[in-house]
Amino acid sequence: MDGIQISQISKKYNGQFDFAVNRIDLTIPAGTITGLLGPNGAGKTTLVLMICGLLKPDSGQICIEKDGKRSDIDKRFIGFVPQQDGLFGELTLQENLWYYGRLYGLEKVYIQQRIQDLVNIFQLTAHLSKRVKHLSGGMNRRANILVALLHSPEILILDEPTAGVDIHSRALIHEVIRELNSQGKTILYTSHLLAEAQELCQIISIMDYGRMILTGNPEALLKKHEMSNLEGLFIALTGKAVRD
Amino acid sequence: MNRRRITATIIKERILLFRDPGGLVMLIAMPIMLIIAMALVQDGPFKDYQDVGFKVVWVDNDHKPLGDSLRAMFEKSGRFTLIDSYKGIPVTEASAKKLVEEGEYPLGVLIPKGSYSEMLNRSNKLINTIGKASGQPSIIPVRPGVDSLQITLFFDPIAKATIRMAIQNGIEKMLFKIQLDLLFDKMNIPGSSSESQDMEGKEYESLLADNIIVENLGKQSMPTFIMSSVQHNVPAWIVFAIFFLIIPLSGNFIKEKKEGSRLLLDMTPGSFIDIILGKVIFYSLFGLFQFLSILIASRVLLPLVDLPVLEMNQSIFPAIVAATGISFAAVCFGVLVGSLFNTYHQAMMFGSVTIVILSALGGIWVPIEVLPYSLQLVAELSPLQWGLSLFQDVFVRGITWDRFFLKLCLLIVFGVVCLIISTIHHDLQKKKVGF
Repeated sequence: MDGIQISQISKKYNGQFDFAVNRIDLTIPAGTITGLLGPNGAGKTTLVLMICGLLKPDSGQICIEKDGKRSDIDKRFIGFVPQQDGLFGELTLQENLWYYGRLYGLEKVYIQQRIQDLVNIFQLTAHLSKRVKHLSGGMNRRANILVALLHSPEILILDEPTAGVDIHSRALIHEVIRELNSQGKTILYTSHLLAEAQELCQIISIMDYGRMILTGNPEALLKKHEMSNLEGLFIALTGKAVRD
Repeated sequence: MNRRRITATIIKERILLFRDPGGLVMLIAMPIMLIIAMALVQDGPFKDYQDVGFKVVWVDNDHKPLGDSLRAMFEKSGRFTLIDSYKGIPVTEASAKKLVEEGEYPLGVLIPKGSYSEMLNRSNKLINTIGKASGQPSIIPVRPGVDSLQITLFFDPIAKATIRMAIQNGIEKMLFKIQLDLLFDKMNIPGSSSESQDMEGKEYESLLADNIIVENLGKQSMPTFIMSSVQHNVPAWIVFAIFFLIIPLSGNFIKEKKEGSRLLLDMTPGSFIDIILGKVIFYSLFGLFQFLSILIASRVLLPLVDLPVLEMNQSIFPAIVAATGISFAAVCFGVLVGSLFNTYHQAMMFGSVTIVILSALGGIWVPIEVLPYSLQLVAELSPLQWGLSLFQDVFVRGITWDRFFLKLCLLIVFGVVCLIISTIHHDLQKKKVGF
């Protein structure tokens, strides 16, 4: 796969004066980890939802490029981890995984095997029979990533996957992301944690007020703007005013 | 449509619902308590209350002064509206019986040909009898034998015994007055109308008795029984209870929207209709389970509190079909409420108040024949009335299959329309806000 092509994409919510996403062009090359950064309300989640096909853009186009051919977004190729945990609290982890596996159209045998593999990776084997509402925040986050990987997608999109997560879980999530990337998966990742993005991502894109203000390799960008870290660059580009 | 997705959703919903034993008990136990309470509370009023007005299917095959006088008395009472044509076609004996049997009208009156002639003959006989007693020879020719006027009343099978009795007595009284007026007229006694009301008339009663035939309508196989509060309340409140499924179901939808599950569900490839159908199938089956539980509990528990036993005049199969149709309509309405509203409070308030309004209009609280005419028309638009009417066919009237399927189709069409609106709304929401 050659990546995701986003051309002149725009979205304005009903009743809002400003565009949430305003004429954005972005290329997410296949096999990379791309970090999508920006202050609160910059339009990151809106852009991610449109890439996933969960929100219809007002204008512009998003497509997947594969072997030189362009096609529309196909949910079978994408695994999505939303900001908010979306598992059913009253179901056990196993039941949640079964349910989503079946919704993805997977065979029972395959689901069983996939669950075994993934719970080992995410260190959740001992918690399979627990109701999700009884899992800790870190476990819940890992479980959500696990669901997104059930159908072995080529693209993984994570919306702030490490927000509010303990250090051990965060380290594990980073490790998994790197491992998936090493297997050739394309990863799009939004975060407020700039150090984390700098450490993980081969490409970063900074959004503000619905526009894309910067895209490139973190080291190259820092060098170009003569900054020592991403946080300094981020403040320089987006200002010091608090965004709520 | 994807069978795998639908089945997975059915299983998921079953687990979710049965993981909430408190909620489950509420869904079964509360309606049973409601039915017992309502049957007890309404038991007395059901025996005594005065009905406010009736539409009467009127067939006058005699076309003589008897019919005209009786008609004038009915109209003068202000409690009856006489119907002698239906959809522009004059009502015949057969069509009148069909209309009443199907519950379209609560009462029918048939004045057969020759009734007035028989009444005249009786008057003549009476004059001869009085003349003979005073020593005068019989001078008016009469036909031999005493026959009934054969005026026939037929009631909707669900009409209560008190209503039947009151109407029968009222008509007897009207006939007595007409006959007495006729008699005084022949005897040239002026002002008979006002006087006749004060007369005891005991000596004439032997001649005027048995004028009315009351015909029981409904299926031949249906045993006749008294329409009690139990017979009204159990089917009525079962419909009500099934429709209350919209509260947990709409809550389930809103919870998914609010807690982020909807995003993950939308992210799975395939149509969201699969997920909706899974929920609809599961909750419709649960509604059926609810129906059977309440039915069994009613038959067992109500006699323990000195209420009559619920009569089941049909095999259980049509009742199950009816309950499935009602559940389907209720569940689809729940899907619609869950789709349209964004908070649990909005959905709960709208859902519960709507059910109460539709049930009040739909004959759940009181039979619709006691509602004002304008509300009776509105009642026909209530899905709860369609459901109740189905159950009344099953429990009381007896089933006429074309009518049964018509009402079942109404419920199904209502459900399908709700589902279509929900799906369109879901797609529009997705375009606007993403979830």
